[in-house]
Order: sequence, then structure tokens, then C-alpha cells
Amino acid sequence: MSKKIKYIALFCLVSSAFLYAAIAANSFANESSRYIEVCANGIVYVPPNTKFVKCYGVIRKVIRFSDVLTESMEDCKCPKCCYGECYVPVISEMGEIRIMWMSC
Amino acid sequence: MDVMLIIKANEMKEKFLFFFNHKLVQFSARLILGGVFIYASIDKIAYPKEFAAIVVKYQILPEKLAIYFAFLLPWVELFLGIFVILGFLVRESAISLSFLVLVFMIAILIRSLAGPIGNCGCFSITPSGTSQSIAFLIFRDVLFLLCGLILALSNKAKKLHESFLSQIY
Repeated sequence: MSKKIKYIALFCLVSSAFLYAAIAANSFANESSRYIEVCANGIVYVPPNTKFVKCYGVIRKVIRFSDVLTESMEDCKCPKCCYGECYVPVISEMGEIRIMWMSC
Repeated sequence: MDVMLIIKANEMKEKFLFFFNHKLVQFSARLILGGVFIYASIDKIAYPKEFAAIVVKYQILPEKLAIYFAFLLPWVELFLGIFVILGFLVRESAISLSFLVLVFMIAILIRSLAGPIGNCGCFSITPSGTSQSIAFLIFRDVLFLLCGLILALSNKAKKLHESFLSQIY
């Protein structure tokens, strides 16, 4: 294989990876505008399979849902961050209040 | 006295340039820098949305721009890391990676002003559980920057080395 063909092959490989990434980024950017704002609008309903939400307009990854809040964790309500996590109370599918932990 | 100082300075310069251009040093720098960036890109490519959330959290770039940056950055890291290890466009790749390391250092410093960094998104995208120390992150980046500079300046250093030798002999 000549040097020129190798360079063209490499260019195609790099370009296709960037094209794939750009398409994925575009779809995520469009998707992000539909994320539920969980911090600024009081206690809101969040479906159980939610993976990303927004807290004061910033995208956050949902880590887990829990029913109880231990005393030591009470200070970790968003926007205060404890070890990379913070919580907000949300309304679950059954209409109950649950604790949703997200990255911060 | 002055002549002695100049001779000593020249000796040190020669030793420094010899170290800089030593095959083992160059190879180690390539392996460390390339390996680190390839390793860093894997988790980010596997979980791009999670990484995008971390980049957005830095609040340095506007949200959409941060998302595009987060999706493209791991591929840049991967390709440049592979190039450095394979010895293809080493100098250019090392300069780009050094620039990236500098950008990361600035981003970490800016983010640290807003409070402790949970997960910096440097290697793993999963929450670390403990907040990483800024000093450690910066120190680590300085080491990577050093590897990058060894590779980036190697050609220049080689020329300097040759011109230095031609001046002496």
C-alpha cells in the first residue's frame, strides 16, 4: 500500500470517528433541552428510569433513588455537594416523595 | 572564574540535551503520554453522555459547546495517544496533547474556585466518592506536560544539541 493511500485511509478513519461523535453530540444537545429541571421548580415528578436531569439549568447524571435520607446526608441537598453527589426530593410514579441523588 | 562557569554551564547544557534526546527517555515519554491518553479516552468514549454532564458541570463553556467538546475530545485523545505510541507525527501529537493538558489544568483551576471537584472527569466518569485534591491533579498534569514537552521539543533539542556540538568541535 502506498504512503498516499495510507494517509487517505487514516484521514477517513479519523473523519468518520469525528462525524459519529458530532452526530451523537448533536442528538444529545437536542435531547438535553427536554431534561426535567429538578432544583429550581420545587418538588417535581421524575420518572423512575430517568438518566439525566437539570439542576439550575446544568445537566446532571441521576445516580440513584432512595426512600430514606440518613441524618449524616441531610446537608447534601443540592446545590451543596457531598463527595460528588447531592440530592433533591422528587415525586415518584406512585405519587410518593423519594430522594433522588445526582452527580455534582 | 567566568570561563569556569561558562564551561560548567555548557557541560550541564550538554547533559540536559543528551538526556532529552536519549532513546529511552523519548520512548518512556511516548509510552506514558500515549498510554495515559488512550486509557483516559476509553471510559469517555464508552459513556459520552455521562462525560458530557461532567464537562457541562465545569460551567466554563456554554452548554451546547461543552456537549460537542465532550463528545469530540475523547476521540482526539485516542487518536493522538495512538499516534504518539506508534511514532506517527509524534512531535505534532505531543504538542497537541501538551496543549490539551494545559487546557485541563486551567479548567481544573477555574472549577476549583467554585468549590471542591467531585469527579474531574479526567479518567473515569463514575463518581469517585472522594473529592480529588487540586494539588494532586495539577501535579499529575505537570508530569504529563513534562512528557509532552520532552517529545515536543525533541527535534528542536536535537538541532540545539548538534549546533552545540558543532560550536565546540
